[in-house]
Amino acid sequence: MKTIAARGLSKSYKISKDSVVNAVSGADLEISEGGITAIVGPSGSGKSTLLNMLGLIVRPDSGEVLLDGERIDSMREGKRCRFRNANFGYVMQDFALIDGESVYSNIRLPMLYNKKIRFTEYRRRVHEAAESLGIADKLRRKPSRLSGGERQRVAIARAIVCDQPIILADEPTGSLDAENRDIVMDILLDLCKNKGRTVVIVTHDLSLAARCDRIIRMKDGRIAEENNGEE
Amino acid sequence: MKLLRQVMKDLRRELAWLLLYGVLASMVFDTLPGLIGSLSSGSLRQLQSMEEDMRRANLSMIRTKSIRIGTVPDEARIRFAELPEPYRGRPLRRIIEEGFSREGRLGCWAIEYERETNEPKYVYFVGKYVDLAPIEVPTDCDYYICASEDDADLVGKTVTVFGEELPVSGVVPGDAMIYHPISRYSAENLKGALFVFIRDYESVRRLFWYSHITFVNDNLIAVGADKAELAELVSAISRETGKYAYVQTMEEYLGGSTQRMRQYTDLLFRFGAVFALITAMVLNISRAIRRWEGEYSIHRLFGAPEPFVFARMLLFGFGYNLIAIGFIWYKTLFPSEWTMTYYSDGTTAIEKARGAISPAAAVKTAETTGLIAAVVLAVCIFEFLRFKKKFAKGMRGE
Repeated sequence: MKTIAARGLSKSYKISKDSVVNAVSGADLEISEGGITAIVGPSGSGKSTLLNMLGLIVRPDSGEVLLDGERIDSMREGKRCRFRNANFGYVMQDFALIDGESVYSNIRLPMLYNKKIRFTEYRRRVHEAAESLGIADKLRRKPSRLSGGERQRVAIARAIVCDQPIILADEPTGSLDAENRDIVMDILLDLCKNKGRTVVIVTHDLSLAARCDRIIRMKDGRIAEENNGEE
Repeated sequence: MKLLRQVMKDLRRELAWLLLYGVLASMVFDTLPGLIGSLSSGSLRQLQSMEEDMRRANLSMIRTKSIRIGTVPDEARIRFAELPEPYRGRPLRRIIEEGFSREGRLGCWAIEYERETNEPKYVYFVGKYVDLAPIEVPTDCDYYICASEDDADLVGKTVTVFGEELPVSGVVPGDAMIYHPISRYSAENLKGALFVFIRDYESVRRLFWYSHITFVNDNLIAVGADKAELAELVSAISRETGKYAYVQTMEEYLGGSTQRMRQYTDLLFRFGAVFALITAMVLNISRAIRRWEGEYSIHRLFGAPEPFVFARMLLFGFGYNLIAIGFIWYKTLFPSEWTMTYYSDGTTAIEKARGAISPAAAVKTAETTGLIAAVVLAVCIFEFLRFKKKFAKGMRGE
């Protein structure tokens, strides 16, 4: 069971000498295993900051992040890295792939820092992840020679290669055309429904959010509304 | 192993730029120790103190200029007019003889170069110039021979100077400055040379025979001489050598705006050169690290610990300078000397021969390596903290 929760999460950034922006203020939420949750809201409403705090990239100024009831935001840096590696897969709008390396090396990357996965397993795991996303024939290529949809599939393969239970996706379809947007969304839904992963998506796209189990609306750094996708 | 593989990959992807930087940095690192040495506070203090010593000693330089037929320099007209007894006095040989005796007021210094290799072979300090030498020379001996710091093992042995077997009695430290107002050398640049201190004229004559007058006329100085003595000397030189000679006191020399400007310009150039070289190095390492910042972020995101990323940056920074560091160490550990051989048929061969390792050069190379390492470390720490701050703001930095 992997339930991720936030209690009173707040984060502010100093943008000049006398000016502070409250990116997130007192956010409370709970995301259960196997669901797909969309965080929506206008630009600057704190969606990405909230996602970054849930994914242990950004440290909150106050509040807690809990995984299955255990506080995870206060971990020391080394443990935090290992924890992030084992539990979170990240998917970014700009794909965050290393262009100079092959698709294979990109997918393999998280395993380099996972001590529980043996070197001999790398090949099998990369192939399994690539096959499940239909990119097994592109493992030798460089990401720059792939289409946007294929690149995002590589990024998703990297996000699941260590069996990470939680996938955090920040505008995963933001750089894609309509066709690829639907393909990527189908993949994320499949990961959630059929493979039991918890998926959290930050998006501007309300039609995409409508396909999710749950929608969290943010405004001015606060959670303004929560409802089910159908509503 | 994983770290090394990643660093090698980073370096390989920058290979073309790395090679270009390597060649340029090799040249820079080769000149850096000299530039930094000349700017050290010790070196500048030493220069100032030597200028002060010479000013206190009431030193005058006797300068000569060749005069082309039919021309007389303007300054000569003025100076000749100032002289009390322009064309009278004792013959030059006599003046030199007395001036270079133990009671005399004249001195000179000269460097003699090896004919074939053009390396400094002997550095002579003669007459009163011995008292201005960078080491204490006993007053009771006619000759006093010193070796450079690299050849300290020669002390106690005998060497041949102009056909005479003379003992080596001391060592001139590597950081000593051989100073004449118009030219100065660091003793380290004269390594391999023998320093010959000669106090009396008889010894000069014995060593240089018929060429001794020409020899002492170069870099001639007078210490505490009055106007009449100087006038007699310059008129004798002009009369007997056909050169225009004039006197320039240390006060005049150092007080002259041209000289002061030259010193300032020289200092400014050296400061500028060191600053520019180190800045260029810092900017380039910084640029190279920032180029891979996106990749470091991706690795951090998927679990690379901070020390791992820092080590990757640091090794990359060192790797970037490896060619240049390797070059200066190669030059230090495998020094080579160029020799010229003249054959009877008129041909000349230029050959490269293996030289001896100099401990002083090794120390200097180690210091330069330390400086480079410190610069790389500082740049990497700065870049890592910058990266860490940026990463902590989130992937989109919102």
